[in-house]
Amino acid sequence: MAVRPPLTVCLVDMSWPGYQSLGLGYVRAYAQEDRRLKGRVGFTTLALSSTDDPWWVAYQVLELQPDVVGFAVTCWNARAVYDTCGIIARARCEATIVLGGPEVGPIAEDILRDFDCVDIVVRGEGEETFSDVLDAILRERPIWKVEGVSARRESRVVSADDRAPIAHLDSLPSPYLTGVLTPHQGSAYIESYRGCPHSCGYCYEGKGVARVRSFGMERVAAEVEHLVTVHGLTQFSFIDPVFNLTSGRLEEIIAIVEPYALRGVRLHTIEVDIERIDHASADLLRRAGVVSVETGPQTIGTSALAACKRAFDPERFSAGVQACVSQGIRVECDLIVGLPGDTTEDFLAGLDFALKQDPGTIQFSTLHVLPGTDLWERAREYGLVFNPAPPHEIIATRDMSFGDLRRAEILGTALTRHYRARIASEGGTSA
Amino acid sequence: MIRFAQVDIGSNTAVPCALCATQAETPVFRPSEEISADVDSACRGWRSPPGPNVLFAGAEPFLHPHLPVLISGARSAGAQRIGVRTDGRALAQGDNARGSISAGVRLYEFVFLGGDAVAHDRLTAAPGSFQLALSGLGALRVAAERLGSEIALRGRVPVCVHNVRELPEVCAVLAREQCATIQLDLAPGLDVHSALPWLIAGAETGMVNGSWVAISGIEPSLLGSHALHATDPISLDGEVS
Ligand code: SF4
Repeated sequence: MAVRPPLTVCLVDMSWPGYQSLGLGYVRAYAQEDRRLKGRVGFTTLALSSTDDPWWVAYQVLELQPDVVGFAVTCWNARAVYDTCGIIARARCEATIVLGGPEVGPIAEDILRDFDCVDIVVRGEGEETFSDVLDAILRERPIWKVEGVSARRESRVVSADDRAPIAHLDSLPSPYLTGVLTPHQGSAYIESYRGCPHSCGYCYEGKGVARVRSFGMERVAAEVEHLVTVHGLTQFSFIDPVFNLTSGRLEEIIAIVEPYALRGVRLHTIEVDIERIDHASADLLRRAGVVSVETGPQTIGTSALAACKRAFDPERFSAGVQACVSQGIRVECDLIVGLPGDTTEDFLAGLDFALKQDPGTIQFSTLHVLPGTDLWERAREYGLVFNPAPPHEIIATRDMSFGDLRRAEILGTALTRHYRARIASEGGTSA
Repeated sequence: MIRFAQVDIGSNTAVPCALCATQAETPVFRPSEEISADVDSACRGWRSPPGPNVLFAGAEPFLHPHLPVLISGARSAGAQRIGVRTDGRALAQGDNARGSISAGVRLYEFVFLGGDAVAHDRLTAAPGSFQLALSGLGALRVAAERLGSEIALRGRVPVCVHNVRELPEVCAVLAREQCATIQLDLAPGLDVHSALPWLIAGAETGMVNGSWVAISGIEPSLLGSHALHATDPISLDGEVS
């Protein structure tokens, strides 16, 4: 019979169906390599999804009788996670429940006050903090003193100091190279840097850790090689906020990926700043095997652009789309309904602009006012009424009523369905 | 919005209200060469993306003896989206659903007059037409899925005094059948003010069931807070014929 380690940890991946949590992969890979925890902590990851019934998720967790249960929480899985935690906590009250992720970090104390089933919230990057939490549990030290943690001290909710961002990303073991993560449904996501130089009002990416920190190119190359040669992947993606952050960096990554592209490996749905793409960089993307890129403009309304601190140059945007399309790269133009300052007319103008680009894909989403974003903090000032419960959909704005927003959503969805229905769409690009 | 060049392949618009029509007409089709020339010229002169897009209308396209030739001609002319305006009956039969998608049709505009078999069949004076149209919609969805092709379904409701009170039911049916959009097209001479509550009820019924309802033939301001419903994701160029 296997000996049970002093501490057992169950990480529960409740990502959107078809995806897996890279964040949980990093957290586990780091903790597994942590010398303080070696041989003392056993890990299990349950690969489930946000649409799974919380009762069955809890059942699977409880069967393992873990001492610590960890979840990565986004606006998409938060409700299911909270329900699951409630069941686990009541069925096995000795388990310590730890949450982390963008949905809970910025409102850690509120979460602890609202959900008595949650014991610890990790704020910001989770790798070092989660390992320190496990070490503190093993040593029976107070958790609430761990940097980057919010927890209860007796019955009072307290927050320890913030933890500084991880200075050297290469110090983080790779979830792929350590075997913690394997490709999921024939694909995988690689992160080549963290942070974002931009600060769009609806996004938490550029808010917390604004400074861009990169993984070394050797590390990126090793992950790519591992995924392609060990796992035989023929497609993967980078989750970098802006893939073409600088032309020098783009060239370095292309040099890594191009040999695989020549063997038929493809990169999907890379986020780009389209206004920085000219024919030369579109050619680089093609050589890297990029088949689709995702970009804004999110809105073309001047008030909303200002409120969201976004720049938009229609000519450069069009030139970027055309450069990609001319290289056979499908472009997905994203628009957000419900940004502050946008009127129904702005929304229609945005639709029209996106259509005129004939990018290949047009995608609509409704604004989600997310914790940790500028819009969350300034919602009252901007007159944003949104659902306080996740996923925090916009209900009404000063310029668009509840009815206006719902009509805009349905019209936008109908338009994208008509746009997609075309002969060339089966071939990949619309060109 | 997405512009289509409407190319009429004949006269006697598909499914007029039988109660409004003064006399039954048999369709008269234009020669294929003439139609193809119109398609060519529409595609050649296409300037503004997305497109070119062509909608065959004017008479029931599935009765045209050379529909496959017309569709392949539109493809060769570079059409990105090819649409047909139909009563839908032919799509329930034989291989028409699969065959037309394979040929390149991507937009199917179904003309509906009533929200159930009794009303629709009475207004079209074609017994069984409602059920056949529904079967046609179903056949298209199945065929598109099997072929891996993305098609768009659209309802078109010519609104007259005989069906204005039917609009919520018609919109509910078309939404349930997964039409992305439903166009309510007001007949000239219809009393807009008395029709207004029914138009808005139709629009809201479509919307809460996930379909966009566009109302044409009305001054948008009359729709008040529903003025956005005057916006149609599909705009038709003047008929090319
Ligand atoms: S939306 Fe994109 S560009 Fe803007 S802050 Fe977020 S990650 Fe950066």
